[in-house]
Amino acid sequence: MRIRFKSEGGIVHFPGLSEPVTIDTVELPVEQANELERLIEVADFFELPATSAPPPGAADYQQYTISVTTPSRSHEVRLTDLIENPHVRELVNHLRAKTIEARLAARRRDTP
Amino acid sequence: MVFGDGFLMDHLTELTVAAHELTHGVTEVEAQLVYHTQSGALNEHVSDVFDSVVKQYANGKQDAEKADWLIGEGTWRDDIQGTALRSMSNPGSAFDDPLIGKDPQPGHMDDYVRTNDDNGGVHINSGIPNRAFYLVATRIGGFAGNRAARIWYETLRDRQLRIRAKFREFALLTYINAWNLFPEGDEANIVKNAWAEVGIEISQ
Repeated sequence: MRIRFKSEGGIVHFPGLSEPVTIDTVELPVEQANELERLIEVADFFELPATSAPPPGAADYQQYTISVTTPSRSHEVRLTDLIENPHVRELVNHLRAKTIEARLAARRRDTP
Repeated sequence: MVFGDGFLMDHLTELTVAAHELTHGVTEVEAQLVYHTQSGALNEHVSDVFDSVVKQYANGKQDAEKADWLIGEGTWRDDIQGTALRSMSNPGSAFDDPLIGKDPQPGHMDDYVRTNDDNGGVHINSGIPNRAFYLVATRIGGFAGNRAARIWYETLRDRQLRIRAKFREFALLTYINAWNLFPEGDEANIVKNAWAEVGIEISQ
């Protein structure tokens, strides 16, 4: 399963965080791969609407674009961070944490 | 209102951030500036203007020249290199950190950023009108709430301000409102020159 996660918007634009991050579950330790797959299933990801519009007048909201691809199907969802569904919220939090971890690890690798 | 969630930032209910968010509410009622590209950057800019003025008011109606013109000062987590989220006086100088990148704000139309990110760069290109306001406020002098912010507020409420206004349209309206509010003074000229310095020519 490949998951592509992009985050944008928010109260300030972070150039260093605006590139999407791709996670492939075959490259993760088994526990982490299972956890991610569980979160996607519990969030009922493949049934989520492709976009959800922010309320009128909303500003400084974060937007997330999540694409998930498996051998049999793929789906892309665009969300704002005004997420009411707690399972979707949990998935987004998990992906954000993993993204930051991945970027910190890359920074450590690149720093002599 | 969205205040953010503390992943990389602390103290997100700091006064200026709260004022910034509340001003989005005012903008929605008064002007409905569409949250995309230039009109969106103006929407962001107006929030930054009023959050700075609120902060300067709280500092005892501070003189514009003495203010720091920083938005969201002190909101970064300790290990992030930056002083603030944005700087109105010096766009592009608020942060520079290996993880989050460098403050992308331009201070002149020559450096306007065309992007699909951030709703077309609404938090990025707001640096250009932000610098114009900073120039207006410091050149008029005194507390920015007295005259500079009044001009800007009248512009926000101006019926001529379209929801998809670009910078030039907004600039022209600040000039007209400066004339209307202060027909005897230098304010209108100061406004015109400030916009010219950020690369926007006002021609009636």
